[in-house]
Amino acid sequence: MQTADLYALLAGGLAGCLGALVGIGGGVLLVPILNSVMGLPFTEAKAVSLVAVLATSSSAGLSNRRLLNARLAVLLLFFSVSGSTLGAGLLMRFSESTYQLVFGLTAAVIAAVMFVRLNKRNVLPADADPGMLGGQFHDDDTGRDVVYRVTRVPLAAAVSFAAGVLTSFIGIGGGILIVPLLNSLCGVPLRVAAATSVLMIGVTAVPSLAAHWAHGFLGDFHVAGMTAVGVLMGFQVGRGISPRTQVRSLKLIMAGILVVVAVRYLGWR
Amino acid sequence: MAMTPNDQPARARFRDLIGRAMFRAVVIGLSSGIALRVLGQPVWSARILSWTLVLLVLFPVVNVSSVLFDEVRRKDWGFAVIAATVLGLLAYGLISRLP
Repeated sequence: MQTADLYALLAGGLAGCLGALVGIGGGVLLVPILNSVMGLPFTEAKAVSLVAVLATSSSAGLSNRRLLNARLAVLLLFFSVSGSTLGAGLLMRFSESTYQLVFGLTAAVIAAVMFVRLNKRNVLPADADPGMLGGQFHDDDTGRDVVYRVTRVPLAAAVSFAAGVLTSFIGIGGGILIVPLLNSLCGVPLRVAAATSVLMIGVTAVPSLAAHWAHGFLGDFHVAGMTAVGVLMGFQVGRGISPRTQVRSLKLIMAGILVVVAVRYLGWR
Repeated sequence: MAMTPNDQPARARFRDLIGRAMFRAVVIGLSSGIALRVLGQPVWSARILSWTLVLLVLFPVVNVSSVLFDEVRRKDWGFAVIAATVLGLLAYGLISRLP
């Protein structure tokens, strides 16, 4: 096995672990690793990242059913897939530096929101009405049944659309936008937000990956294959750690990742 | 596979079966593709990895189809139309990129 293969495997493992823990595809870390560390062209790094996003989403589809809010997911998917389809059509239109600036700023804002709302739990009394899009689940942290209601749906729809466009433009799954949004601004508990997001990112990645594939950005599939194997292994590790990880710790991990991403993309300029 | 709170155990098991079968096929495909590459068969490796990628792309399509099936079964036509539209968008995204 070559050094590049090892990097791809490790980067994929990191992405898969993050996917199991916080419901993101790991593209925000994969793209810089594949591009800067492994020296892949940015376009190929994006395409490989999208394969990793699909692998994370597929792994999660087997394990997150109890927490998944399928109705909320399908509603937001209408917007994110529309955004992804539009973004795929405009793939070559803008410069990469523009995308990096927008993403860095967005990551910084979301990180700030998550730090400010670190202790917010988004749960209602057990007899509360969850509404059409809300739901309930058993929270392993507290040992109680939890009810939640989804608020600010138009905002969630707008951000899902933006996440879809970003999926095509910079090769991320969009979970890094969707999870903090659902959790911090829409009243969805973090574990539900993560489970819902991880389904969404896989679906949203499809039009974008098809476009990257059609443009020949996937190369000979070898790096994509190694990364996907890493994702599958990393996901199992993340799933093993997840039950012992507190919600507050998950939020801290995620906010920390966002800060690193913001510094990376803004510092690049 | 996506699952709603009203899933019947038999249907849940069926989805579970399909999901696990697809997942195993992906694992086998990825492993075989990489093994062939290591063994000096890059053409066959690329061929198998590309088909595995097709299978990975099918995962989300099956997930959304599953939600659509649930909503139709519950006669919740609003969500059924949304799920069908998402499937249509996915089909457009895939078919429009075929060579």
